[in-house]
Amino acid sequence: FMEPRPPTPSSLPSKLTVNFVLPYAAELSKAEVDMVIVPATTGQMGILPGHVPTIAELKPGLLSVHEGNDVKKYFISSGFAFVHSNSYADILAVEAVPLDRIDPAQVQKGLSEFTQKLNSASTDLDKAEAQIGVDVHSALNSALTG
Amino acid sequence: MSCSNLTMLVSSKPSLKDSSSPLSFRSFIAPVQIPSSNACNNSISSKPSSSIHCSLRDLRTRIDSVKNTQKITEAMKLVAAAKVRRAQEAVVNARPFSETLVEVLYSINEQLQTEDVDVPLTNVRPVKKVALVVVTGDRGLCGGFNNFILKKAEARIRELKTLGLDYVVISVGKKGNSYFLRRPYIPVDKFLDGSNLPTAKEAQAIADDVFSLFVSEEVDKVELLYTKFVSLVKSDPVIHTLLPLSPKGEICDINGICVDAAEDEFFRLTTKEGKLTVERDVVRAETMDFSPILQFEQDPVQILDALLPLYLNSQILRALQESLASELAARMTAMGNATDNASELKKNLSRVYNRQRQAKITGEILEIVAGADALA
Repeated sequence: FMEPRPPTPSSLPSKLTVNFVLPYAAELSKAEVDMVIVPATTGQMGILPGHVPTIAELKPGLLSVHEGNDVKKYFISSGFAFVHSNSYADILAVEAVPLDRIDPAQVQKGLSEFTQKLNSASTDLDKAEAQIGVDVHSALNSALTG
Repeated sequence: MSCSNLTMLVSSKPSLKDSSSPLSFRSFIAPVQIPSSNACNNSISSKPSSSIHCSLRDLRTRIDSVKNTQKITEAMKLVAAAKVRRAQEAVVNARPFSETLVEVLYSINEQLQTEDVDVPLTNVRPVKKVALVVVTGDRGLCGGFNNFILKKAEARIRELKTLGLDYVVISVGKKGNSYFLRRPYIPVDKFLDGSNLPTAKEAQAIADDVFSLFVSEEVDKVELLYTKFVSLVKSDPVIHTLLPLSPKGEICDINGICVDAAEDEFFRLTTKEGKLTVERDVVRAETMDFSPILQFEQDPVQILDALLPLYLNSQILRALQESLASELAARMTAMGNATDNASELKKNLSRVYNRQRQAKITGEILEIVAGADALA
């Protein structure tokens, strides 16, 4: 359970405090980082200390946490990013997996499979399902290569 | 028939469906139920404990089987205790997620106070049909746990009938499934199996079903029936209104008593004076004053649209986890009682056994002495 946030400081803080939570665990809790890049539905969004308070919905994509020269990458399925006025960022993801745990071969296979399904889909439901599969797999692909 | 006291002890819930348990429960019961050659009769004497007269061999067999049963029930109790701890940790781990969701909900609501929120999940319609999601356990041997929930479900169904409302049931958990299967007059929409560790995936399956029922206007209200974890010996079946969601994220009880979503009760398994106890704490999530310059990357209504299903999911997951914790606590208590009963039964049997053994020895000595006397 989370402790209350400190009030807004008068000067710009140097670090961004990130809470990265999943429904079953807290991946990062009060981690002090330099920058976070989240895949919002409107595009990649970078959050730095002193960012204006924002609520953003996230689409499946790459989430990277930058700490000095260290970069931690996660692939998230979807979620929300909530930036507060005192450089606190809450990132909620329904499912997140560190990038090094994803198998590129599987991703390629899945992508070709779903593209095929999309081409041969007959009903609207099948088309929608196949489209979702293609979207997720291409996002995975670009996350792995990008 | 031969000594049937043992079957009384263990057959409170004979359907143990956990076949993965290394202690094969049924194989221990079977030998006992084989009728022995010497029939024993239970004679209720003036003593408070009923005196049992069987042959020495039968008594020994009985004592052995009671000892085995005691070992099994004690093991089950310890396993349940370990699992309760894990279940409690799962609840604690899931809290940051739902807390943050509630915060976002609050902020959005502050912003949208002037606008009319038109999200399908918050539609309040005149109620004609109600969906009941009933959460039960998968296995037996947990005391009255499943019974309480099912009784409450029946009571609620009766209430709805007297109000003239139609209803449909979504059953989660093998025990509930078999109960409703035997009663075809109760309409059941879906049967789902519970699991040892409820994850967002299972919660999503339930959420999807409930969502589609509500949005397609097949039902106008969805109620969630689960067991709230009160203490190790007490559990409380409660009914919560799941849908329609209030945009503020309040959790409403059946009587319309609404609890602010930011207030959250949680339980902690701790040790007090060497005994396992449960402490309940009420924690109020800090709802920060919303910043007037809060920017929305997307349309707030769109965000709300995406947020509420996630909130629904986390509510269901929370209910599943609490239900699991209650079931484990009930099993712990039931197995604890069974262990105590088994040890008492073993004590009584041993006493009778020793007494009979000594009587037999005395008899033999007397025979020998009498024989020696006769010869002399």
